[in-house]
Formats: sequence, C-alpha cells, structure tokens
Amino acid sequence: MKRLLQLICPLLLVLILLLAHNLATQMQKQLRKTSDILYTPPADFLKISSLGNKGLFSDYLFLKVYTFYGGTLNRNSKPRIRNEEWEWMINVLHNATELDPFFLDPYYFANAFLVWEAGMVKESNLLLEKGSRKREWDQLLPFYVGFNCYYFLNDGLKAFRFLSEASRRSGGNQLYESLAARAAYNADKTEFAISYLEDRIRDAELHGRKAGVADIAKRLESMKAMREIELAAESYRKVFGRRPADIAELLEKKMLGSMPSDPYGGFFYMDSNGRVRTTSDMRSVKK
Amino acid sequence: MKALFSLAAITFKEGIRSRTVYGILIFAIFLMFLNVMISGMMMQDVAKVAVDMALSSLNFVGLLLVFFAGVNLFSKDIERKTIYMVLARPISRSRYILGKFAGISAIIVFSLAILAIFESASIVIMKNGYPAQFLRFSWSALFFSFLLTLISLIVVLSTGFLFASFSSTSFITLVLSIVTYLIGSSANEVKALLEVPHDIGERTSPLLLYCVKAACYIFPNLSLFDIKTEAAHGLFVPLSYILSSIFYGILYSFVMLSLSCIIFKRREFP
Repeated sequence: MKRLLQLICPLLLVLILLLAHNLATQMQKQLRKTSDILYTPPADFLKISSLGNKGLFSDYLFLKVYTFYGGTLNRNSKPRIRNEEWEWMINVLHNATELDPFFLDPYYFANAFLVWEAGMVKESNLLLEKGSRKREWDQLLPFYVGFNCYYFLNDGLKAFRFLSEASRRSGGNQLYESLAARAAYNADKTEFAISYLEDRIRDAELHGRKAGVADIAKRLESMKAMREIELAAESYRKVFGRRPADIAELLEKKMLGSMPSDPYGGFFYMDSNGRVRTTSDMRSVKK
Repeated sequence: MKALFSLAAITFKEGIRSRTVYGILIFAIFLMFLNVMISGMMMQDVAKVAVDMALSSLNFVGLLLVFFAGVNLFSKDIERKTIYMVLARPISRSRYILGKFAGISAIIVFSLAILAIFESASIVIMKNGYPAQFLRFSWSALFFSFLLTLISLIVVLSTGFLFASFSSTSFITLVLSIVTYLIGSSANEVKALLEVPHDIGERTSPLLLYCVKAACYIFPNLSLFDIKTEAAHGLFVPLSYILSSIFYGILYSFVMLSLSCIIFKRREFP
C-alpha cells in the first residue's frame, strides 16, 4: 500500500500541476482578451533601462510588433486590426528606431504594412524620413518616402527631393531618376526636373556611365519642350492678362515660334488648368 | 612579482575548477543556436540582429562572471577567512589584491574568448545563409566591440574589488557592484535626458543636474565602451576613440585598484 501511494502521489502531483498550468494559461488568455493593454514605455525610459543594450531592446520591440501583426492574420473580425492597434504598432516602431535609428526592419515594416494596409502614410513617412537621414548609404528609404509623397500624398516637390536623393545614393538608378523628374514635373516645377536631369547626364558623363543616358536625354528633351511652351504661356498671360486657350493660340499670337515635337511621339496640349502636358505621358507611343 | 603571478595563476585555476567555464560553454552553445534562430526571423537586417545578439550575450555572460565568479572569489576569501592563509605568507596585501585581480581578469578573458568564438561561429553561419544582408558587416568593428566590452567588464570588476576591500560580506560587495554597473551604464543617458530640456530653456533642477554630472565622473562611464550599434551596422569608429576609451578604462581600473590597495592595507582583520 505504501509503495502504491509512493507511486501514485507524484503522478497525482504532476497531474494537478498540469491542470493548474492549463487553468492559469486559460485565465491569462481571457485577461489579454479583455484588457488588451496596448502600451509602450517612452523611448527615453527604454534608452536608460536598456543598460547599454539598446540594439537588443530595439530588436525585441520590432519582434513584438512583427509577431503581433502575424498573430492578427488568424483573426476573423472586421477590421482585422483596430486603429488603436495600428497606432500602438507605429509607436513601438518609433521607439525601436529611437533605440537604434539604423535598424532597417522597423522602417521596412512601416512601409510594407502601415502604409499599404493601414493607410498611415504621413505617420510612416515621418518614421521613414528619420531612417533616410540616419542610414545615409541606403537608397531604399528615400525612395519609399519619395514614392509615398508622390503616389499617396500628391506632394510632388517633396517626392522630387527624396527620389533625387535615392537616385544620388544609388549612383544613378534609372527608375528613381525617371520618377524624380516626373514628380518635379507634376509639382509644376518643370525647371527643377530639367536641371535635375541635366545634372544626372553630367554625372553619368563624369563617371563614364552610358547605360540609361539616352533615356534621360530623351526625357530632358521632352521636359525642355514643355518648359518652352510654359514660358510662352507665361509671356502670353503677361501681355494679354489671361491664359491662352491652347497652344495654337500661342502660335497664332507669335508667342511660340513653332510647335515643339515630343521625342516620345505624342502631342503637347494644355489641360483645363493651363498645364502643359503630352499625349505620350513621356512614354514611347507605338505608331 | 613572482608571488603576484603565482597568486594570479592560483586564482585562475580556482576559477576554472569552480566549473564556471563549463557552464559558460553550455551557455555559449545555447546562445549560438538562439542567435541563429532569432536573427533568421528578421525581415531584412539579419546581420544587425546577429551582431546585437552576439555582443549583448557576451556582455550578459561577462557580467554574470564579474558579479558571481569574480567579485565572490575575492570577497568570499575575506568572508570565509581563507585570506589568513595567504596573508600569513610573506606577501604584501597590495600584491594579494593585484594577483587576485589579474587571476580573475584572466578567467573573464578566457571565458569570454570561448563565448566570442561560438558567437562568431553563429555569425559565420548567418553570413553564409544570408550573404546579401552582410554587405556592411565588418569583423574588425565586431572585434573592437568585443574588446571594449571586455574592458568595461574589467572596469566593473575593479569597482567590485574596491567594495570588497572595505565591506564585511560578499553580499554587500555584490549589491554595490551591481548598483555601480547600473549607474555607470545609464548615467550618460540620464544626463543627456536632463540636459535637453535645460538647453532649450526649460527648468530642470540644477541640483539634480549637478548630481548626475558628478555621478558621471565618480562612477565609471560605461557608455564609452558601448560601440555595439556601430559594430552591428558596420559604421566607422575612429581608432582614436577606441584607444581613448581603452585608456580611460585602464586608468579608471588603476585608480580603483590603488584605492582598494590603500584601504585593504589599513584594514584590520578580527
């Protein structure tokens, strides 16, 4: 009997322990479900409490956001992620980048999910701008900022600034160059686009780069043609006190010597706001 | 000098015999796998996380060694009164302190070297797995960060010796050493935090600022030895900075040891 008790008692103890553990974890799940504390301590406090391990704390904070996001993929609720949860994520990412401003993943995550899924473009761009300032060698972050400004915020001038920075850092990436010029043009700053493209060509010549120079030159030619029409329209407005109705009017009043040709094969025209545009949209037109 | 070396050798052997190194070895293998696992979870910056993990685990294990093996090895001698056996021999108290310090430092260097080898192995594994993420990685930056971490641990050890030279129990020595570490590694951040509102004209208690500034001078400024971020991102660290930090570390340890020797010389044992 004593031997049997000696055998049963430890087994019983283990069983009770397992049950207690399961009960406690269930309670913990309930607690998390009801309270949902979305809190992150201030970055300054984290800096002090990390005791010289800011990098590791930063990794931990990022992983916290990353795993939280991963955990929401199984949710059936709509919206899948609540607004306060997105805000918590950006706050934690902000703290992670305060601890280690060179850490790429928080910026990458912000651009991939907070911009495209949560639509938090302005908040994410603030984070990305910080990363772009700190990671001086990185071409991706200024590209993200520039792209977001151009595509989501319709801020052509800022987009131009960041895209041209991305292009400079990449040593002349054609995509960045083309987007930068387009952004400047859309911001009604054709002269920016022209001087930028001229600078890119000079830079390519200086470094003996030939790839992509022909494309830049073509875009430059198109931009210069549009600028010529813009200047003519500006003179027209000064003389007649109103905007010309179309380019034909500029030709008729001798404000424009001849109709410039679009190297992409399109035709220049003036939209309802008086902006000079081309039917080719600066892409080669198939004839 | 011979006595000093003998004492250092005995302390080193004693430390090795305490099986701390075996514990370190097991811990190093565990950390190596943990490093590979965690850094592999990252989206882009695998190299940074691998280096962070390696350097922080080195720092953590080093601190465990300093607090529980290093400081104890000296203060327990006093507590258990085994120190009488040594002091009865023709060896000065200063030599005893220096010999102990050299022996414990050797244990720390030896243990951390083992850990550094395993951590470097984990980085090699990750580097082979994700070569594109390691373009900015620099072995020299990692080495210098290892070196400065080691110096910072030796500085903390020297403060532990100062406390052990006058305290009666190993527990007090341990607590004071931990407090010194906490202040030393955060004082600079606290100072920066207090100076920012002060600089833009907001009111900060001048007394508080003065106290923090004083703490930065009295306690070891351990943030000087922290180039983990630079190592993790392959950023340039001037050699002059590294040399000046090493010089500061050596000088601080020298001052702490000198004070320990002076206090220990005057100490009366019951």
